[in-house]
Amino acid sequence: MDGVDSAELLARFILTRSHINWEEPAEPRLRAEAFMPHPHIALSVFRILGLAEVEILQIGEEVGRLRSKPLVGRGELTAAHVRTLGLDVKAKEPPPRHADIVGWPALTGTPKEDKSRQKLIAMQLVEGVRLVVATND
Amino acid sequence: MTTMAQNLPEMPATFSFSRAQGPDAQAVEAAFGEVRMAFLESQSLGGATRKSLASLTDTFLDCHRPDWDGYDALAVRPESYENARRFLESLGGLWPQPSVGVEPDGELAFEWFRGPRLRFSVSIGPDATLSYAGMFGTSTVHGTETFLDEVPAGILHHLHRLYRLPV
Repeated sequence: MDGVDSAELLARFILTRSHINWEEPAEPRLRAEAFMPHPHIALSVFRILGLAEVEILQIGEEVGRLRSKPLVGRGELTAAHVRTLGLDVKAKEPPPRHADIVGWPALTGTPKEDKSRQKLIAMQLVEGVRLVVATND
Repeated sequence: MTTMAQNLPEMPATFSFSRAQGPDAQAVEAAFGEVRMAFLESQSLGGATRKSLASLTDTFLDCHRPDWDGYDALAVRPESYENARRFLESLGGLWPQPSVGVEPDGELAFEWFRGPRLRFSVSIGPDATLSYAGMFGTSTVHGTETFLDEVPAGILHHLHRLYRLPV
């Protein structure tokens, strides 16, 4: 694993409509659940700094294809934002540009208490996320 | 996600019963029967609660199989749905209705969102333990409560806190 510069932009690809609040169709909102790690205590993201929109979409479509799900959208955030919350970002290839958000509370002590900490961190993460809805959805 | 709320009071089209046989198929069919009964009972509730219950049912139906999120999420179990339904009903119409979500461990989540850094979320699974987290401006909380038949005082305290803050 390698470090990721704090200035880098990351994308979490969203493969279910359940992770987006559609109550206001003109202004859908990404839900914190999209940033909760499970069953792994690492969150899969891609490094997208400097990529054109079409290149980001290609990565997202490939992630969806490999997981047999449609691409619904993506949440974009910076590595710096991740680190302000005590987490870290580590490159983890293959596939190219893949990374993990790590440092989550493990569900080992009092699992439900640890889970509530994960909930709070996911909530804080999503505060700094920009949602991009896939236009082909 | 399907939009069952628009179909009320008709039964959602997704309640179909398969012809599969065997213990597993019977268990699944029994679980869906319970969901169907819960749906019918919800017709007697107020409009806002009924809409939330419809959203809860939609979410359960969308996520009752493993890997619903593409990242190996656990299935939402019928027991989790039942506990979430009881929790929602016990809230009554005293609070703004929460939006319904689902977490990758298969627990159902209710979120009250007022704006940036003003949100509170409670999730519940098959054992009826509530996990919660909230942001109230610069303050944050997280923890657990046990849900029996009433919304725990600790949860109500945080809802009070959320709704008395200026947006």
